[in-house]
Amino acid sequence: MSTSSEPLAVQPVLAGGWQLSPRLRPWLRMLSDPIIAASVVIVVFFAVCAIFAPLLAPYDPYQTNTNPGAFLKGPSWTHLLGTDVLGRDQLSRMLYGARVSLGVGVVATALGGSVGVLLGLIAGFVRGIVDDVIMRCVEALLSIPQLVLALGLLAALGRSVHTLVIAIGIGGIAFLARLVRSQVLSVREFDYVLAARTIGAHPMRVLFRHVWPNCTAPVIVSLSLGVGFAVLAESGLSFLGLGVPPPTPSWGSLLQYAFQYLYGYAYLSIVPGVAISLLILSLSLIGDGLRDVLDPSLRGR
Amino acid sequence: MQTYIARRLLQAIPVLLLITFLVFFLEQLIPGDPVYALIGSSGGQELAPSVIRQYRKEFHLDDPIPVQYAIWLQHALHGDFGKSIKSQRPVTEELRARIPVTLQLGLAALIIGIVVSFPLGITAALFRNSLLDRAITVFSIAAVSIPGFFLAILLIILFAVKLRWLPASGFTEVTTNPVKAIKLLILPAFVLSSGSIGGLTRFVRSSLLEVLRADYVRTARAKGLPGTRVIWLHALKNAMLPVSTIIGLQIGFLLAGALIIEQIFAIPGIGRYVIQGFTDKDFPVVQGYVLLVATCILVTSLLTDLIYSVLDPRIRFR
Repeated sequence: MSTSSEPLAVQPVLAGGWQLSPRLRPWLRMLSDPIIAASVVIVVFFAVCAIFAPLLAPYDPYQTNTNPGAFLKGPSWTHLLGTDVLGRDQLSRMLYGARVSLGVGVVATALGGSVGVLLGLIAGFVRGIVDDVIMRCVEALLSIPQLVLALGLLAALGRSVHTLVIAIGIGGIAFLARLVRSQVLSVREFDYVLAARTIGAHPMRVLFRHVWPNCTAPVIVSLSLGVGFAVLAESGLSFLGLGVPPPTPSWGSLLQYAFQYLYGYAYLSIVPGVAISLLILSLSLIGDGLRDVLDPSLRGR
Repeated sequence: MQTYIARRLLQAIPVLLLITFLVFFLEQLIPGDPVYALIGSSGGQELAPSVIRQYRKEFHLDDPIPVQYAIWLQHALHGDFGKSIKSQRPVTEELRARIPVTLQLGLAALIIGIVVSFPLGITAALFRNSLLDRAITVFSIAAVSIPGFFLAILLIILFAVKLRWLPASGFTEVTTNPVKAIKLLILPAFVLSSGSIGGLTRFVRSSLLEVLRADYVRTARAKGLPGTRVIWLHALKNAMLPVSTIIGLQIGFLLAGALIIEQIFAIPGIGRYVIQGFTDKDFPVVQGYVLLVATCILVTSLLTDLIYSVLDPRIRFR
């Protein structure tokens, strides 16, 4: 959508005569907003924590120590965030927990998103009975909250990380399918799509070459928000004790442990709680920023 | 009007059937012989083949899946979701006994949500781009982003552990001890409403801004009506139309949120019951719960659509 049509003179010229691609400029403008820049930094920080957890963690997150005086200790130089009820290092568990929380969120959104996009494209492009069938399924899925659907699937399939990813991912299908469908319905009426059809382009080519590229903006925005919802769902399920089976740490399950020791050990719940909140907040602010960049017509809403 | 209602009702029927099929299908996903999940296997005990055969007959497990579904649906439509493995009582009865509790919590949360978000949203729209508007926007984004369970923990630490103003958890019927009941309900209802507050505030704001840009508002201003009259009579009335639909959609958030909130505050509603059912591997309870929640949400969204079409006749001709 942002193919270069503006005069070259307006482009900032960097040292060495290299010119900044006009495609990049909206992104730089987005990052110049301090709030969004901070959000990106936070998400990148958590991602680094998750990816390099084995290198960063000072202790084995599963190593228990139930010697008197070793568990439920407050923050100290040996254990920066203290230890939990089994004497496990809370910082190490936070770092490994980032892997589960972010990993489940990203993979579930990617899976659910791709299925949703595909269904939306088919429904909007093929129309007719196929559209009706897909949309009724989408409405059925939308009637079941993500958390409740996940509860049912986990009850049937049993608790595991794979089931969790599938259960949370399915909840994301419906939103994407509905969004992409409505986008396809408006894009397919554009003249250039008609032109492509008139010169005899294959329907698949029209769909993927001409219609889909104009549907990506809202998809990217809602995927960014979707990761936030997925992280929320994962931490909620783990908090309820329905998520990843112990002893695997996730931010939600760390909070669940901490909740049982609220009296006197409140600090245990603050760190995972703040981490979850910051991550979700940052993802939703980035989503808002992306929307402004990718779809200027929606700015300020 | 009649055709619109008829069309919406006809559209809802296949969706309801799909939901029931989805819930029925959960049963098919259980690995191994579903008999164990349906009667509850204690400690992985092997059952005698003759016993299994008898149960398979009782649950129609040897019939083709469409036949199984038809039988299951017939029972479900009569409100029969099977028996709880643990209590051996009908799931419907167990759920029905706990619905009023969840309803109280949900209603309280909805009222708090509306009472807080409407003034905030209207203020933000009227003082657009001011410092106040920015502050309200930040507040509403934070309200959506902080997960209910963490907000609950923070509030319990503050109001129950440190200040000792409110009890940390529990539930009492309003009829037995009104003061205690309200004290117990304040924290959970507020936490449950926090997600709605964020969403509703932003929606009220954008809806009012939209209307303030409309031609008839400019006309009202141009003919010299005082500002407050324009806002209260012309703008707000129309801005509230789309907001009314969003309130109908809150029920989904509230029911999902109650799942967690009831657990934290030890409120004996359907959410706490289903979590207990999950822990006990009481599959019929979970199945009945999912179907109940989905049906509730479908019916509310249908009602919201119909009410909206009465309030705003334009919608019928779309």
